[in-house]
Amino acid sequence: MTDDLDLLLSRPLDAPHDAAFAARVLGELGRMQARDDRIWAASWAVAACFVLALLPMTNAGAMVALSASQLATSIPFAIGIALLSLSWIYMDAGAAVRIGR
Amino acid sequence: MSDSDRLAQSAAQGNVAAFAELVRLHQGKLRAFLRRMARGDAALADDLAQETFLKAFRKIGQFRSEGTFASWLTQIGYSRYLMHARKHKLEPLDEASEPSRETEGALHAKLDLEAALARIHPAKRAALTLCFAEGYSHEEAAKIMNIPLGTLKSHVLRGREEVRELLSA
Repeated sequence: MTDDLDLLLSRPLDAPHDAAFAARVLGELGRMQARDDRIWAASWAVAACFVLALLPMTNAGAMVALSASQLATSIPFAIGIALLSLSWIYMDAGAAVRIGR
Repeated sequence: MSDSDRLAQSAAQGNVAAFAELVRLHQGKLRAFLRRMARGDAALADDLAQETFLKAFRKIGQFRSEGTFASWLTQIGYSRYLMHARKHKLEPLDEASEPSRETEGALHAKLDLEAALARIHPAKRAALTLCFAEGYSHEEAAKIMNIPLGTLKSHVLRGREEVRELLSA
């Protein structure tokens, strides 16, 4: 009886078919990673806010306003922006022609 | 080093495709073990298996090739099962509890192996399954179950005796 029982107990377990189990696990894994990424990004954002709150920023607004007014009256800056815009429009038109839009 | 161990090392370095392969390779064996532990409840076993794989993914960096990946995974699976059983009070888990022999009808029926195993203490069920059906050594099974070697041997001996009694009832 003992030998028979040992044989019976030693029978390998019937492994169930995958039946999309692996896909289900991997889908959940993807969601878990996305959740982790969001938590990670949110943690960084909160940390950055704390750091910014602690930095001495009293004159920062004035500095930004001054830089903006200087840039607005700068002819080389205006030409640069114009060239960037034109090249972007040209590239976008080229891409539209290639994909047949 | 086995293919699974190599895949586990690759997964530990962030290779999700390697972990996906591990899931495909090991899901059958793990689910079968958990089904037996869950006394045939396939849905519960699959939920526990999924939790096991997710936990394994989080802890894959802790996997050392001292044992096999399969035994490491089974260790996590068994621990998930015990947590679930404690939380939901599925079965008496204390060592002193006797095997349940409650249903009158079943007492008179000839029990098959699965039914007999379902009626013994879960630790004995796990010990018998790991040492016989899964072919682990006593040392490996003790490590998977996180119990001393002597306790494991005792579970095997007593569990086998109880199953024998139930089968001959």
